[in-house]
Amino acid sequence: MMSLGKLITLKTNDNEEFKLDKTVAVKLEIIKNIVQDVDCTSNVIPLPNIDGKTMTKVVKYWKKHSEEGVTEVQLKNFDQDFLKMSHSELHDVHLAAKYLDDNQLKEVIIQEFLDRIKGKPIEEIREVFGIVNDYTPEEEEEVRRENAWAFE
Amino acid sequence: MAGRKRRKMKSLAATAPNNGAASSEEREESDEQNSLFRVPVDILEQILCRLNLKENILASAVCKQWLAAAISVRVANKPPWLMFFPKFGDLVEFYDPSVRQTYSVELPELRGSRLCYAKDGWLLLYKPRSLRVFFFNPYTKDVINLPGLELTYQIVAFSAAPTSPDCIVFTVKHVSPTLVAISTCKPGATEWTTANYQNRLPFVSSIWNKLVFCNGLFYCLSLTGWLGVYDPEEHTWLVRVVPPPRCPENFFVKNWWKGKFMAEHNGDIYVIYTCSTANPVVYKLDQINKIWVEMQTLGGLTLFASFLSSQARTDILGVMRNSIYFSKVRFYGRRCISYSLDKNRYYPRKQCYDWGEQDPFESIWIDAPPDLSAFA
Repeated sequence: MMSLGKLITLKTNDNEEFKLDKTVAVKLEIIKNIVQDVDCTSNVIPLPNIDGKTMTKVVKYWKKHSEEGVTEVQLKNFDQDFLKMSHSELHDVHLAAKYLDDNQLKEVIIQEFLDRIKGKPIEEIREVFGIVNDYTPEEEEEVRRENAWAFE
Repeated sequence: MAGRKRRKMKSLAATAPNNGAASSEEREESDEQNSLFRVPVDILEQILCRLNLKENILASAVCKQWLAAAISVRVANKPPWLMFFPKFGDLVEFYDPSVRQTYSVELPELRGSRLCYAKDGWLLLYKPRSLRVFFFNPYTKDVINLPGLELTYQIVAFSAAPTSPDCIVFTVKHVSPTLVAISTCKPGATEWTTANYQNRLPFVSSIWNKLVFCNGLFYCLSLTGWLGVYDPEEHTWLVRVVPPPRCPENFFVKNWWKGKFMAEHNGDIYVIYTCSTANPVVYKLDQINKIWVEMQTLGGLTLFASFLSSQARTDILGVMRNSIYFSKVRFYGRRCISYSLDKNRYYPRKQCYDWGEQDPFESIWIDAPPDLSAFA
């Protein structure tokens, strides 16, 4: 058994190290499993799929969300601020969360993606995500005609 | 194709692809420089599966990748099928209104019986000669028998599939204007339970089923539009103090009492009044204010009206929403008679919709089968 208050080191694929309180880190299934597997005295856990830039964000999120006495409102404001990143950064965090098996963070990211498209006109969605419309006019007309009611 | 500019599409409001206005042209240059990020398919699917049907369809117009992802997570309801019971022989036809296709299958099990009601993919049938009452699933051909009971032409319904523990069969017969006889039964029971109930208000039960099960109660509309409510838990019968739906004056023509239909959807009760010389009127029961409210639109809802039981669906793809589909097929079986509340018109136009002329026992709406194996 590990003792409380001990630090654990996470090492990203670009050799950046993050020292985390164990009580924070072991909340994650994957870290908990690794901690139980590896020799606890070395305490360095490699994260071959995550770079330092992304891990910085993830750790920032974890720290805030495990802060003692933090209020709902504070967390809401924090999340709002935290999610102000580009699509690809958001995607990187999602991949990291997926690797770390952090369902809460995964959910937050998906919700943010959802907010970025929900209720937006099609042209705006294309613009926001830099999507080139690869429909021919006839094909697009067909998609619209099939369920014309949705476009009214 | 490659050099063609196809990015003139404006927003959702655009009606035709080539009507794009100049304003969108100006944005094109900056569009090209937008990030190279592509939403990966797994994230795209996770986003799209949180959208409702309308939003999903809108998203599918973004590009081909989004279309494929949107379709892979799209959840839409299937409309019920219209089952045609033959006057002679055993060949039963099923009409799928979404693809306008008819399937047929021999069902000798139904010989000599009369359709009574349909719900959750099951039929309730009655054999007048032997007084046999039974459930039949036309797709699996499963039979579940009930104790015999003489069912004249009174109205009858059931609350859930007979395989469900919640299944109750209910029938009401009017003895006198202030007295009804109610019989109930459950699958597996050895006999029907019958009791007489006094009405405070006169209640003459309707011709054919204006009868639905909603939130644990059976609601039946009387001949003149009063609402009788039976509680199978408490064994109580009450004629509600809800004024009947207003029947438009021009509706009092030949067979006025016949072209009425009642359907239930997610706790809401709908009544459809039709008339051969005017457009149909749909009412929804406002349970709080105890009134029938005339509906100008059904929104995403589609009603499927037949004499023995009517159904309602939301989230049906294509052009079927905000419409009423009637249990009559025209043009050699190619399409149902329907009425669109969007367009305020019948399809096809200029037909005579005198429901009194139609045999009420010849057709019924029933849930679509899970697959086509029953027709192989």
